[in-house]
Amino acid sequence: MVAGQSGSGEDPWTRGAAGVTVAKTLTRSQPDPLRRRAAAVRWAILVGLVVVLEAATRTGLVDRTLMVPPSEILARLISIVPTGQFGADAVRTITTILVAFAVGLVLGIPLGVVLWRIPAAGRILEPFIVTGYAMPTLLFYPVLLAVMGLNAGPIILIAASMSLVPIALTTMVALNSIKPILHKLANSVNASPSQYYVKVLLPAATPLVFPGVKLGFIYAVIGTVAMEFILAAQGIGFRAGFYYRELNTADMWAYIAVVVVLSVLVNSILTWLEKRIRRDML
Amino acid sequence: MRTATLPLFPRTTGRTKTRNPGTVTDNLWRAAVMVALLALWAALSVLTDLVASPAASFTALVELFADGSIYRHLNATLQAVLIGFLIAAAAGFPLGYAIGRSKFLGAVFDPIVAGAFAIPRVIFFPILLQVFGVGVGAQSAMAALAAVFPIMVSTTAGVRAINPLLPKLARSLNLSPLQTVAKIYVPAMAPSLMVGIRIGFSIAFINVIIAEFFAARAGLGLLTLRAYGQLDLPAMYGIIVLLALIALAGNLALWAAERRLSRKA
Amino acid sequence: MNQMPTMPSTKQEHDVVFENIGMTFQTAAGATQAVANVTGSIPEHKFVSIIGPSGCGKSTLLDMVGGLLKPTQGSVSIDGEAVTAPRRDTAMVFQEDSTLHWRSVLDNVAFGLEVKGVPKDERHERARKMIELVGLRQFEDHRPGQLSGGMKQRVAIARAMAMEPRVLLMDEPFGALDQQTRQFIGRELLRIWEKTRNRVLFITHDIQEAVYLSDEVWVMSARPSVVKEVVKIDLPRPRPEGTHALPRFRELEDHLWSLVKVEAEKTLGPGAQLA
Repeated sequence: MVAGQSGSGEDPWTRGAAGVTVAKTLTRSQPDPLRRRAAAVRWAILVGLVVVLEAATRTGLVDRTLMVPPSEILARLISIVPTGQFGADAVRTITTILVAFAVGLVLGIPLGVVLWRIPAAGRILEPFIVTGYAMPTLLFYPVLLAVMGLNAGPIILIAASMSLVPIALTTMVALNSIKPILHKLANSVNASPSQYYVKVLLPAATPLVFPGVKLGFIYAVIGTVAMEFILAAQGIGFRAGFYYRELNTADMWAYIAVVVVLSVLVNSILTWLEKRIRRDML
Repeated sequence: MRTATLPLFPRTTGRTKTRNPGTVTDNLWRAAVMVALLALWAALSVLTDLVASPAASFTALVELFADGSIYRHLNATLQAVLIGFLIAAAAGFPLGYAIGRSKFLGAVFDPIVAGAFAIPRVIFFPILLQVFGVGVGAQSAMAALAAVFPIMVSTTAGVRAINPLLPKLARSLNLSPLQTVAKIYVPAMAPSLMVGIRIGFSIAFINVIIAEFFAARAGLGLLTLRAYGQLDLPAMYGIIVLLALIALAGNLALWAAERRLSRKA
Repeated sequence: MNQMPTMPSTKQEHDVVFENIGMTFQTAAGATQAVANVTGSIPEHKFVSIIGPSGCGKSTLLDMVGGLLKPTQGSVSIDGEAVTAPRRDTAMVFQEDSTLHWRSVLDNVAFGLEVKGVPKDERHERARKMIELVGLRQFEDHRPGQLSGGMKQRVAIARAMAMEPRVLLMDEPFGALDQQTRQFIGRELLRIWEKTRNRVLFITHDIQEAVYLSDEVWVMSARPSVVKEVVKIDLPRPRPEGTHALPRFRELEDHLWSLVKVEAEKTLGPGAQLA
């Protein structure tokens, strides 16, 4: 879309100097045919994978103790999902994820702001943060268990601790990359601090913070499911491990499938949101 | 410009200026933070029976080393981390490079990699147990499965971030493909690779411990669980400290390597 | 054709008055005096340009008038009131692109008014008038990312003008634009200014631009800077086509160039003090 070539009379600019005033078009990242071909190939690969697995499991190439045919997994899924037990597990897992994410957000963003305002704090704490990130916080589970009891509490806290790290770091980086000229502008129009935060900082930072928030949510999912798998007595993650111990491969795979679908769904929705935000705000 | 949405520490990807983690005042502050943490720990241990005191924990840890019982587990864990990490690197670097170099492969696989990253890989551990049986093999496989992602993603990002003039330069100098990769691409990608390696190491470490919690014959994770089961809290906390030290040591070593590499580059 | 700066005792009511204003920065390397002693005034409806060697404190001076910096000595006042903080009657335009990229052009231009609490309908109306004035009416709903550099600066000018400031402060607003755009936008600025006639304090490196646009050009010395000389530009207003070719234009340009050259050599030449 090229601007100004309708040549309105009042604007002397658009008449002659088209080269000077042509508005930039928003560029697309890749040519469309390439992306469509790539998508086709991608689907082909995924479908092909399912077909190969189906064949391998049916012919006994892959042992039943290892994996059951995808068609059987689907059948198990269909019969499991309507059950009360599944409902209870699903509710438990999803609530845990949401709460863990909320806690991660509520702790992570202020932490990011603090790290931004006091750069020294970030430098000094960096080794601790990195070490903490490498330590499975699950090791503190016994303490949390004793303090909070055998419920979702310890899991929420552990998942939240995984979630808040990318959120805090991204917030810090985002705030750091806001052009200083915008601060000068706000000063020159005599904006109050709260006006600056709400009208300038927040909208400028949001598209940059969102990728971290997305990552935080993903870690909330991963943390919750992983912790449920090892430690809990309820929840989708737990159920997968449970069926493994019961040597019920089919149902175990059904729950693995649930986890996969859940994670991929969450990721897709968040990626779509991210693109929307970039388009509208960046 | 379409870059892979890196599901990693945003700050440290691509254009990392290696930070120098060692000015004197900074280290003094860090020492202060450590002292504060130890004090907090000690206070907690007084307040509740569930937390063993720092002193008791350190003593227990030393005892474990003294009577040699820890070495079997230490070896198992470190072996699994190392093997898993090496496999992840062996697979991740070439794959990441291929995806990064080819626009088409990138378009095909970026969503798959991003989607796969979102899946808790721990859920596949039972399968690995079936294939490898209980032992270091299964833990290594778990670590490899998890660590391959950050390595792949950061390699892809590193390749994509290479200044497009560099390939032209290589051609104008008539370098062979091997020379091009070795002398121009690798140094250009080194910072990104190092970040991927550092994160890959951390993730391998975490996943080994988690796997050991679920099922293992030996390993520090298993030892922790056992100590907890026997209510030997000082030992449990002692091992946790050991794990923290290993994580810290590994990261510092890789950090130092990162710095030296970028100084040469 | 040089005159000494107007002395404070003869200042008129609605002037911007600088009285012995100075600015000393404390840096890690010690105190640097950016501005030493500036005394002068800008009468109503006048367009004043400031030129001088790099780093001589021109932006600092502007920031002080705008209330963004407090002078370490002396004071600047507008209409008799000393400037201590950003005021309603000053507005600034910066060299860097300062558009808010998530807002439409309309909301960008209305930004200053929004901060002041002007209700939505009124501020949109005032903004639209300014958008019309700078010739961007068709782009009202566009985002800055879709505009060229020159257009973005026009948005910044419209935003400043929409606040109906008594004093318009412009810090090398066209410095980031290419030559061609700069000439166009300079002419546009004058066209707009003829209608609004605010006091303008305009910083530039471009001597031609200074001569073309202003009624008066202040030449700053090298750091610590004082006003070395005030040159009155007596070219006809409004500027006719072919102003640049007038012999008087050339004379003024040469005169200013000779003044600036001396100061520039002090800053950049062999005897220069390092910053």
